Amino acid sequence: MIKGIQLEGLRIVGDPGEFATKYYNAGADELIYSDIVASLYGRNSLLDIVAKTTKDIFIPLTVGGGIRSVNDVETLLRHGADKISVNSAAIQRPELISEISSRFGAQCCVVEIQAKSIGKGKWMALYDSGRENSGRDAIDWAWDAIERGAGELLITSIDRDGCRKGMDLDLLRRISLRSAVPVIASGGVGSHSDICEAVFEGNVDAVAIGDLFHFDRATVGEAKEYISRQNINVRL
Amino acid sequence: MKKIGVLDYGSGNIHSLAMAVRKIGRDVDLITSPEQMWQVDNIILPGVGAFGRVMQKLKDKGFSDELIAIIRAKKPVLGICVGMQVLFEFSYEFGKQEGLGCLEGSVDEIPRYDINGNLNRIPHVGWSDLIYQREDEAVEGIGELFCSVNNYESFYFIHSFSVSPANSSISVAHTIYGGHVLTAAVRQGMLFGTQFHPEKSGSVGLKVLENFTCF
Repeated sequence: MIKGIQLEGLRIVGDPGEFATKYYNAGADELIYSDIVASLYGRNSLLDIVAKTTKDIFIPLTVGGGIRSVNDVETLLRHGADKISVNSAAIQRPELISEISSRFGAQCCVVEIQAKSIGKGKWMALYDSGRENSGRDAIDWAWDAIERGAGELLITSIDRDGCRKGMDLDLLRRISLRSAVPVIASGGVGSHSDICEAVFEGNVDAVAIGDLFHFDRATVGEAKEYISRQNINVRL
Repeated sequence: MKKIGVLDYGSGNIHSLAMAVRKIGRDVDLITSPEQMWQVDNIILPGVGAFGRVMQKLKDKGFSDELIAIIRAKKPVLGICVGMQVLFEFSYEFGKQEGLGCLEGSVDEIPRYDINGNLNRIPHVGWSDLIYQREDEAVEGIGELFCSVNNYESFYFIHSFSVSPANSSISVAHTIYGGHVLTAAVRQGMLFGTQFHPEKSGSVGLKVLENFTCF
């Protein structure tokens, strides 16, 4: 398992299976596996990790990275993924979203949007782990993805990823307030109160957390207890 | 030891369901032909995606008629998510579609607006409280699907449609989304259904699966 800052400077954190088990036992609601360099190398190598994970872990698992076709999705689902997330291939060929959604149902199709701020109230959608600029406005791309059958949006703020300074609330709010599908926020959680802000001010349905837990700065249980005390309805 | 059959007809997360059943210490058979259904003690019918597609696959593999016969013969059957929805008479997903008709009622879209008139995000994804229709649903002893599971435990849901049983007494538990009551579990004799995914609901989910295998 690796983690970077703004999707760069990746450092090795440890074995993904061990972390998955730790988070499951600590009460995580869902896991997201993201092969963040898959698109760059044109590979899809998460299968073994996915199959091993679902032997002992009985919460939903979303898998992303390098998915280019309906067949890729089918293989991942057969190995135990519950949902898949697409970014790069969907930007290059948006029909992929409707193909996945009509074949496996919208509930299985998460579209990740990697948003990079380019000025006040403006974000571009990037791909290939934030290395390439699609030239598309991130928020327009969100509406397009929903229209095409995305069942959930995973909004990653590239500017905030790994920075521990809070989430991009402006970005999240602009998408969440008008989204017809659930929104998962990612990038920037540095403290428990950042999670609450994303929910109360960003209006999101879920928050994906890496850094805070990966480096043992907090446990899943502590985070949940904190946000529960702030009146956020969460499974304890 | 009891043998649990999981229908493998190209829809649903067979892998994690089989793992979950193994985790609770039961034998699992992946069922790929209709005759095999008679050789197991209990049957789990998974299902994800569109109602019409799930029904079509059941028919294509010759499962639908045999499944109706199995249910008439009172072998315990558990439908999960769309696997429960197809047990009903019809669905309104992409026009009116016919189901197996083992349970009376229909499958309808989750209301697009919450009770305050705000947009209800659909699909309904995530962990929601399971609320029993009867207080004593979790009584100890073999024979109840929710035995030893507390009222208001959270289970994992992921769906855009939900069942409306014609006879409300078959509804065992519900959940609330956007202020609307959604049927979460049904039982009619030895036929069971859950809208939530027990195989994805952590230890309480495994307990529900274990309870089902005790029938």
